[in-house]
Amino acid sequence: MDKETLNPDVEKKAKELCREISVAHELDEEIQEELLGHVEDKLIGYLDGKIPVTIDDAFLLAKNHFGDTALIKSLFQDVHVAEVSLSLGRRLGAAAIITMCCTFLSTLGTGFAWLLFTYLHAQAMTVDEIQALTTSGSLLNASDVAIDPLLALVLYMSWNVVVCLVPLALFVRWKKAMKAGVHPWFYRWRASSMWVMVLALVGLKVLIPYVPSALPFADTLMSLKYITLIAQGLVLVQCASWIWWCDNAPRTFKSILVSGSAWTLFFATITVLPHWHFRFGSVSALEPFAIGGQFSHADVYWALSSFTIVWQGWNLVMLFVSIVPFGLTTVIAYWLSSYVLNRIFAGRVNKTPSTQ
Amino acid sequence: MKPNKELIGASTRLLILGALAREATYGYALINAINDEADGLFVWQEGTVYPILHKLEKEGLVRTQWQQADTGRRRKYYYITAEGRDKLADGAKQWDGFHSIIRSMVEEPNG
Repeated sequence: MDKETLNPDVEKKAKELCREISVAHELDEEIQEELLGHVEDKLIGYLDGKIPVTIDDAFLLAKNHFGDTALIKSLFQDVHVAEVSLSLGRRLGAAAIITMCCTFLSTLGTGFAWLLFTYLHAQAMTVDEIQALTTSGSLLNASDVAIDPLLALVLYMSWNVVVCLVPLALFVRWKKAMKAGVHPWFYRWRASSMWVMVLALVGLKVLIPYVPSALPFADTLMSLKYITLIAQGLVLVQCASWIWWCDNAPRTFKSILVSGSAWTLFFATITVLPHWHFRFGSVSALEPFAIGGQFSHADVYWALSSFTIVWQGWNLVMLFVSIVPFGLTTVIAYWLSSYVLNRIFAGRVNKTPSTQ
Repeated sequence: MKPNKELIGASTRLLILGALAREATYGYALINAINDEADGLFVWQEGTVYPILHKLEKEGLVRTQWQQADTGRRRKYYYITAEGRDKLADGAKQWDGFHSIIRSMVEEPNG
């Protein structure tokens, strides 16, 4: 173990290492010298090949060559900060909040938008020029302000399709933003705040009135079938959207199962919950402010609500029974297909290195 | 099979004293000697041995002397003291006692 076998650069590094250890512990020069001797002996032993590299040594070397793991981790988090740190709970919370908001748009918006439309139309009909124009053009029947049920159906379902696709569009947008390192709002919220918000929105749904009977197509069988078909399709899309939103690399069955189950539970909850259900069959388009009258009479409000909740309850149960299997089917199909694809592609990936 | 840390910790001082009782030596050689003797049963983290050596020195169980090798390098040699030898004998006796008890319990678990 000649001293000369260590070149000056290596010796300098060894000294720095020993000084690092010694200074950190405020040790004196004598100890530094002793430790330096040890490190030098060790280095010479390795360089001469007198000390075999053990498995532990090899791991240490590989680890040291790879770099400081804490630093590497922090660098990765700088690049993939959003993808890495967003928990499944936060994803579900964000999905629940946005879906709930869209549900409001769907239920509340449809009825009130329709009433607003009929009111504006009625007002427009008081203007002779517009009446003449619309009547002659057959756009609207100016005499009773009744719109073609088919047109109403298309408008209504188009609205619902758009509203139902909003969460999917947002999920796509959020994922892109997260990949770009942007932190959407659900990063800044505390987890507890998110779930309080979800509960508040679910609770709010009970208080928000629903006005489907103001729409002119509710009683036709064709409309009902059409609505059911589209509704079930939308449910399927919504469930798949949730699963896609929660399913991130590395893929785990847990996230797929939990997100599918969470969606089913969420949908079941908001479907089964009662809400103030108004039947505004008597509200004509020419008297749109009658709705205001209904709201101002609390006794009517309560009486109508309590009656219709019972009636609507049965409908909702039937709706739930008919739609939820679609969600479950989606979950199971997605799960099975993921499993099969993972098996197939994982097998191919594993084979590739061994053949090289 | 790797012995647990408590077992290694409890035996470290005795192993150092035992090695120094055989031959006075410097830290690096001492650690190598004990690691060789252990034959893979355990491997000491080398940096942790020096503080123990220094503690033994403070307790008067070992003494040190800087020596210059032919190559010019200074090395700190450790020598076991008489007190150190007494401690080693006591410790070895205790380990023997524990060893005997454990062996007898293992060999005759119902006895």
